[in-house]
Amino acid sequence: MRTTEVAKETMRNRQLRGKKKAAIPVVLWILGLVAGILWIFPFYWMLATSLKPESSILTSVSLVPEVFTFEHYVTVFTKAPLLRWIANSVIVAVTVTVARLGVSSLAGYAIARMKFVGRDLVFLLLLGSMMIPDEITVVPLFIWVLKLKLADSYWALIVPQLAGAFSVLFYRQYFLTFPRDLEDAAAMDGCSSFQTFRHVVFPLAKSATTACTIIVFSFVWNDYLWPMLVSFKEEWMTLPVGAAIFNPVGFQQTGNKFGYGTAMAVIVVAALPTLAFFLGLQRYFIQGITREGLKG
Amino acid sequence: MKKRLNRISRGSLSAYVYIAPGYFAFLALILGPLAYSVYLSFFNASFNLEARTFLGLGQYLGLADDLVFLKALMNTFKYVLIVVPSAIVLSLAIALIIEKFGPRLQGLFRGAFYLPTVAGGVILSIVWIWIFNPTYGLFNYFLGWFGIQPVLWLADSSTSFMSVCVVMLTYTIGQPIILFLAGLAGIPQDILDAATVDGVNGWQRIFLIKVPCIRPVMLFVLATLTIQIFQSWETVFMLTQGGPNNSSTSLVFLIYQTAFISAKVGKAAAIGVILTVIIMIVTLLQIRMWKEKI
Repeated sequence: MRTTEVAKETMRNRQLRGKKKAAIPVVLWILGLVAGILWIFPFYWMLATSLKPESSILTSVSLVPEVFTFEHYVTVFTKAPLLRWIANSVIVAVTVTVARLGVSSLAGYAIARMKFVGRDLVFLLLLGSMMIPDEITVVPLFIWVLKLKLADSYWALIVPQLAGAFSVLFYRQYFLTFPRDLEDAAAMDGCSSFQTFRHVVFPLAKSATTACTIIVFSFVWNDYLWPMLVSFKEEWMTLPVGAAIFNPVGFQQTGNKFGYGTAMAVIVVAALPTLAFFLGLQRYFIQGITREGLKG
Repeated sequence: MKKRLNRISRGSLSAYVYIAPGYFAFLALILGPLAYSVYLSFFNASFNLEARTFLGLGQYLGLADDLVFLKALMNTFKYVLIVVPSAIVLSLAIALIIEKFGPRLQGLFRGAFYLPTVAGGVILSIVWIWIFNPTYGLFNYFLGWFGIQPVLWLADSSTSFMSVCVVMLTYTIGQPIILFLAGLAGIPQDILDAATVDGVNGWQRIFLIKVPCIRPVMLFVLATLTIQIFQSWETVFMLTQGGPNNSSTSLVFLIYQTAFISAKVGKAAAIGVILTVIIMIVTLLQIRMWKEKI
């Protein structure tokens, strides 16, 4: 009696599941598809708008440009030092990333592996500083930049961005699980502590370095507040700062007179490097983010 | 014994060499400015620091009566309380949907939802200004199909706040989706099988099995999103400049405005100190919750 009931129950469940397996995916598919299209649509829209002549942008709404024009791209490249902005962004983001990773891998390794007086204090300070918003350090840093007359220079764009607790903690976490045998073997072969780090540990920490590079690089690349504050002249702006000049709303401080077509062309150019970087390295992006969230 | 001591102190010495560059950068670029900000917050000062006058706690008491500051404080909490839960619900729903897709398709969708995060706040805001444009924008155009009169999304104080929330939402769900997908993929198959045998249906499966299993990920997402939204200002800066009538302003935008537009450096520092204290309290509360729940 009991067994038959259980058997019936399982049968019913199986049927239910069978039905659901057939029905749910179609609905889910459509929901997912709609959401996905909504999310990438702004990118399509900026590209489409940037290719329309200004006159048609403000008269008709058409999903596909009826007349194609590259006039906005010509305007952008002739009216703004776009190539210089791209160069600035690359120089700043690469320097900051390389320096931060170098400094952080050393510090993270020391905190994970070495015993020294004050280690716990250093670790706690780092954890605590994750809670300090960047914005509170901006005012003093800006005052110092003005005092040292460093505005409009790579010094101002790069140096204040060199400190970051996140990458140190990221490396520490990684080195905690790093196999100790390798270091022992290297020490046995007569490597000094630094040689071991330089030739054995760091090269083997490649996956942590890749993940950290991507996170730090894209963060610095998109950073807006600090580079905007210290670049008074157009030629010292980074890509996001320059792109914001074309903000079609036209704020009092920018006095902008460009139209939507030009604004869209600028942000297409500004978005391309990051999007290409992401699409090319997507796998590592995902790894980095997952590692940060699931283990960090 | 002596030899061992020697070895420890030598190891200790090289450890200091390893952490020295990071430590000095940290002192000069984070701790130093933080201390200086706290100091400045007690003064009535502009960028011409010689002309500063001491206010002491008067600075903070003055903020308690400052209507714009109170509005920014309220708004900041409103942003957090609206955007963070919406982002979590939305990204969890999307993760649960695309989890069912094959690996290729899942990767494609995961990438699509992450694109706005990659593009960054400035670029995204400019597109959205165009979409929100009252006369020629897409948003009003589509609403026109349903006979809805054009809305001044960003220029009307009753819609500006929600419009900023929408844009914030578009680029805050990318990372949670990736994390939720990874969390969902990590649920042991035998737990899911056991649930199936016990006759757990679709919704129960999600809320009784899957969600509790990924609770650590959810708490991580909650903590990072909260800090992120507390500090958000780019969207406010680009879309509305805090307006109209400060209806969409936030604490960080107010710090920017106070320091760099009104040149009230001391007051800006005081707002910064308050924001830091708020973020610390909220983070510590969340960490406690985290420890209890796991």
